[in-house]
Amino acid sequence: MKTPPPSKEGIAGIAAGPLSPLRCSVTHDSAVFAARSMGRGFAAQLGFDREVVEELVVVVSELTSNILKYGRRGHIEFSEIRRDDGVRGISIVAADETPPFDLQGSLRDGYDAKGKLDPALVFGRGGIGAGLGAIARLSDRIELEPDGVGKRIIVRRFLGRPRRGSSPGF
Amino acid sequence: MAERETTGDLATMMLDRIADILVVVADVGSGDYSTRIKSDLPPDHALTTLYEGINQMIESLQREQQRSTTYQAELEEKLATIEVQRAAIRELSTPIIEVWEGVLCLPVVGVLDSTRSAEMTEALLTAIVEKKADCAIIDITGIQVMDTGTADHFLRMARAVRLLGATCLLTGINPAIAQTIIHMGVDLSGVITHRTMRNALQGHVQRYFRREDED
Repeated sequence: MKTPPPSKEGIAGIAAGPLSPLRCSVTHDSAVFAARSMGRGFAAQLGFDREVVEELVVVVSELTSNILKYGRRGHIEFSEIRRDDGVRGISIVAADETPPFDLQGSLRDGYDAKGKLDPALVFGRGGIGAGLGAIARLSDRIELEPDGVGKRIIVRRFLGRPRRGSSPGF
Repeated sequence: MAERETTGDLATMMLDRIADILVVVADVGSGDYSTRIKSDLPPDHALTTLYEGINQMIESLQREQQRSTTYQAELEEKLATIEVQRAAIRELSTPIIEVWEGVLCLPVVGVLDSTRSAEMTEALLTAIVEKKADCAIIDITGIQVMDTGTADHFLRMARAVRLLGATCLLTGINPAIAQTIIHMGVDLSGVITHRTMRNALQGHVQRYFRREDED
């Protein structure tokens, strides 16, 4: 996949759409419910199918739990985007205060923030190490960029694509 | 000569007035908003406007402070309410229902976080031991979103149940969640699933009667 050079505003060729952006602050466990609800409403407004809306809600849920698990404080931003060819889509940005990590490494299932998950040690870890892989499989594009002392994870999905297959789309 | 005296008097008078103002300003600076500058000057005096201006400023500072105190009290009350509501939500504990001899059912509703999941698992394991259950059915009809964290909680619960020698069944997975689980790439193959609790019970009861016949 060709990656255009990132500009200050984000990836070139993807402009902002008319729907006003929404932000959900993530500082407490209750944020998972709040972010899911906000995401569900926003995605539905954009016109995504009901099944795709629920997939995006899973993406939001994963991003939010990750902030709570590793970043502790942050926020989720929803905005409408438009591709060069005019197709509308959603941008979900998860920003938090912990330093960036190796996205490629973490996208592999069985890995989490500390590295490869040893099945024998699974109970000590916070999860099954499949969150980012799940996000990648349920979206069109996922990126990570540093943001001050923290980072932003940018997830994009466009209208019109059918439900995701089980192969990694990244 | 008279003019110089007048100028000297004026300077002294000004310095006195400035001293008065400074005292009041210092009081306000240290948080006393009840103080005011007393004026013994005639209304048309040049400094009267200044005095009135200073007093008005102190009054508005006092009003702001009162408003701030009220807001603080309201905020604390709201925070206390939130704490109480949070405790009430925790009280909405998941009931564990014995639906058949030795068969327990745990219906799960809403958002599953680590605390709730740990409490549910502990309650379920205790119930399995107390009721000598050999089968636990976790029903997730009430779960709207299945993300990897939630799937992880169920996998751990199922593992713990199996460690106690009981069968763990997962029921109530709707088609949307089934698809999402596959597309996420989460492996739930270690868990026996049934579409509905009815199916799960039917299967269990059939096995039960078959065992009875064999005895």
